[in-house]
Amino acid sequence: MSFRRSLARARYKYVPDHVLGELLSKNWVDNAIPVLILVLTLVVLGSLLDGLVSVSSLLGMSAQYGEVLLVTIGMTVVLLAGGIDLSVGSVFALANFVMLALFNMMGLPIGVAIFGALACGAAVGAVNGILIGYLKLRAFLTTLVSMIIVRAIVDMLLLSYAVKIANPVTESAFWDFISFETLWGLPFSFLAAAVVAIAGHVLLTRLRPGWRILAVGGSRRSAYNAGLPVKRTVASTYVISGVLAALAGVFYASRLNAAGSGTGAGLEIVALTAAVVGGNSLGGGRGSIFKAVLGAVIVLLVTNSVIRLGLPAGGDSLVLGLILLLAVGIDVKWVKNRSKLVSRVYVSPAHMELSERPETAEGSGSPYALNDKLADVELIGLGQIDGPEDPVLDEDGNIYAGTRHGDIIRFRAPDFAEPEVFVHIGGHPLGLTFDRDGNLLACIAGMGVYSISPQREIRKLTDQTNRSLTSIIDDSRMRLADDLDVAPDGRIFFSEATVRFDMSDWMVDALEARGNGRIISFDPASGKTRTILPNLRFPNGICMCRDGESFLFAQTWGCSISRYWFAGPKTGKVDVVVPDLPGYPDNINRASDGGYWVALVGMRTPAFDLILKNPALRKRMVERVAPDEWLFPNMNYGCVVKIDIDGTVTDCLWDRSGTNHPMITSMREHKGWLYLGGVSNNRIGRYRIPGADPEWTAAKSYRGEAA
Amino acid sequence: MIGFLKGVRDRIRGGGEYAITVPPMDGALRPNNDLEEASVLVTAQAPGHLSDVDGALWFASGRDVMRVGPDGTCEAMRQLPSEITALAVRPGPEIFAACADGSCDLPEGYSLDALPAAARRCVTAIGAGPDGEVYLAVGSLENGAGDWSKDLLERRQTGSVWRLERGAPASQFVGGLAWPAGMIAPGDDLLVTEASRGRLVRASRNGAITPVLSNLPGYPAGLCPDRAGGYHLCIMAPRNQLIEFILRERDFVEEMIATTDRDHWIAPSLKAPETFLEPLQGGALKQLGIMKPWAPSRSIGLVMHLSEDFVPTRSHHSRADGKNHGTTSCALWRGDLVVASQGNNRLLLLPQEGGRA
Repeated sequence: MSFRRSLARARYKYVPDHVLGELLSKNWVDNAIPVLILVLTLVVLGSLLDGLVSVSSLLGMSAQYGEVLLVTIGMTVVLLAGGIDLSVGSVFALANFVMLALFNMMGLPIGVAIFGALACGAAVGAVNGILIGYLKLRAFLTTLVSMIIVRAIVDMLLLSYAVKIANPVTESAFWDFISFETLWGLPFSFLAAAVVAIAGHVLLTRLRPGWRILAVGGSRRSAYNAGLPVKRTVASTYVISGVLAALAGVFYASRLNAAGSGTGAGLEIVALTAAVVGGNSLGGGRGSIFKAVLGAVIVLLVTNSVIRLGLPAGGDSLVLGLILLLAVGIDVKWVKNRSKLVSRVYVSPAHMELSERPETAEGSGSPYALNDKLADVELIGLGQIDGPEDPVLDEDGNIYAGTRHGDIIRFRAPDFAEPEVFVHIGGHPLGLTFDRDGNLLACIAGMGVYSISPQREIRKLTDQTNRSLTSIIDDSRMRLADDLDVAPDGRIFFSEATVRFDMSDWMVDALEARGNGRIISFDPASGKTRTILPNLRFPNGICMCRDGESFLFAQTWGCSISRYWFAGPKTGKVDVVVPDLPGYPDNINRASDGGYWVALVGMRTPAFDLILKNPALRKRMVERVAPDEWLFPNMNYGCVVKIDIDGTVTDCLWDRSGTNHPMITSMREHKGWLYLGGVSNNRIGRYRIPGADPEWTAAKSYRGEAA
Repeated sequence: MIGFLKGVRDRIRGGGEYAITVPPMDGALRPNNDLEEASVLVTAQAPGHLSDVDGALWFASGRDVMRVGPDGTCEAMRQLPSEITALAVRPGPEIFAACADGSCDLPEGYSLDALPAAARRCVTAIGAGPDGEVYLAVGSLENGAGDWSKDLLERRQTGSVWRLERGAPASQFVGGLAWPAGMIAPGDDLLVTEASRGRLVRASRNGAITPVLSNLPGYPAGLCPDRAGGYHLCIMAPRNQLIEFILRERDFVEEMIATTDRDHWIAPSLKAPETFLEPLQGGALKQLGIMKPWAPSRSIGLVMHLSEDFVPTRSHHSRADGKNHGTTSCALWRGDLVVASQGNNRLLLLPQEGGRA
């Protein structure tokens, strides 16, 4: 039993389970399947056909690849905006014809001829775009019709001019160059397609019009509600597709210098298959140019191989159709199940064993013995405030507190009757403190650390730290900045509770019990932000010690309070001050008698302590039980304890029934009163501390004028 | 091999043994606040085992046999050496009571001597039969009458029903039950609630057991016939996804039973939460100072009415945010329904059509 247990412990200590969920939640993981298909294709076809995977063979395909890639990119852009363009093959044929007609038959300059061909493509695209984008016709039917009509026009023109267009009347060095020459061994069409691919990638990932395309494809209604020009965006994708198909047609003309009824036939299926096999979702909103590039390679390899394998006529279409069917199936299943998979594997518990829970029974003589001192706490702003995680008072005794709505609310002294919005800042403001100049500093979940001047000017201090080398999720951004304090040298030390969960899921971090959090310092003098203590178990409250060289910090899931020296002879040292609290510590603040108040946001329960020892069980629970039914620490009761700098508990305040002020995340002493906050509470509590110095304020303490 | 593959498939898809589901409270079981708002008839320590005899309401409370007269006055009629675990009263009054220490108080001529000692300590219900015989439910051979949650966690199925006749040794009627917790003998057959299996079964005279109502959303306990036909069935605790899950984690359950206090187990409870040491599920976190009534809970109060063919028709609830939990027993008294909330130490009065309240 114990051997099994230590084996399990080692397994959950050293195997980084959380990596899988983080990988799957990355956007680029969508590329995994197409890359796998490409590798399989190369292996299978490479073994069937000698010399398929060779430089000469691949170079031979490159001209054709350029054309297919251009059309595929156009198709991808349309798919990303939630549409489909079946007319690309016909536009390709039309552009081929127009190019040859203008240049060979009419003898126009090469530039004009190319422009004319592209304009034809753009015109067909514009017609599609207007019908689909502005008149809201169905994309499938509309482009099917334009495919037929354009094809018919090309066929009719071919009847009259097929011979004439094949005999050039003029010559152009440029035309000859793109027809026959290569650059660095590569045909011009391939290079042009590569440039278009890079431009398309930049457009989609870095530029506003590209983001709009993705937004419209992801959710048309949301895009509309967000004020995006949905109609114009949709229409523009068809123009892009038309122009790119026409460009491919121009290259085709340069390569073959002929037009026939079969030109571009079936190209729409090739492009569609390439786009979808690459991993671009048919539903829109998900995809990239890189996927189009991958897909085009796969499709071209397969079609060329099928021809070389000597399958009967039509065999390549059959294979393409089957591949398209498979890709669509995978796409549907993947899009539908990826988020389910992520939600199942993301939470990955680690092993943790807490020391024995201190006694809390009433009359037990324990320093944590239950009492009812907080039973008749005065309530401020009941029902008027949502989630005051850390109320703070200024020198005049006004209360400031963040809310879940992203406001910082002010209650004016002395009666605290009406709340007023001090500033609206966004996120969920958590830890607050005043710096020496009277600016309010705020840790804001989802945003970072901000400073608000008494004139209500908001200034961002920091929202980024150094990224750690081994982290898969981007941990440079701040997800859950929690509490902060200012050192005498002006540096701001703040905690980020977890890098793996957002504010709405902060409790789930308790189930992982891994060191997901960190303490970060920000130096206003240099503007530099550095992570100083990584891998902490939900670091929470931070409070400067009176020696000016160290601070206390709480690790919520570790049920402990530690001290860190940032200056002086012990710089860099961490000491555990209280190793085993009966509950989960949250914020820490100074007390008037030289001690420190610690809020316990919830209490340890024997059942939760037991499942902490059993990460495999927590994993199974997360997989099989609905989130609302998961076992959590008991956060319906709260408690405030006072400790001295050595960790000795000197006072303990309970609300036995947990009705008047359930859940306490913070407390501030001010002129003989203790003000209580709670992150999921709708009130601020106020408790008269018996015998406390009625003149003591935190500001005086930080200036060194009081204890 | 096939079993192994099936296990793998079930694990991925959450089927079979890995499907952790709880029947929904829907239809006739849609929630209300009846039990929370019901008037309190009597306040008494952990009341249970209600029976109505000639207009008087008898019940057990701790070591006392209590009686509420037709005028509503409540008095202790008898005190037994240890806590009463089952009580039935027949006109006379003839009192049948069993205690936690294995002793009993029976009328002249009846004896429990034929029962194994372990069974005598776990008599959970007594019911009077139509022909003067008496039936005795024994919850388990491994645990005492107060240890139902432990018996459930251990997945025991050693409960039985015994038949008692004047002047004859007791004989086992049916066995292999998962904690029978209540019974009535309305006709030839016996209706027995099997708490740990969450079902109501009919035991016929030849010992055959047929389930008449399975998949209850909670653990049933006492029941009584309704005057207008059908039955009232008490549910003493809700089934809960987390507990269903824990029941499959055998090593964990063993360790939990061995190392922690029973009030703090992840197990059904007859009481609304009292301390911060009890386990809490995420959905039961107070938001803005309020616990949601639909929060996952280890305890509730619920009485459901069944038609004569055992189809639930209506129900009375005390939900997660309430206190009148652990409804273990009910009886009709002066035409109204009286429900014992063992967890909140009170008898609740639910007026019925044609009743006196």
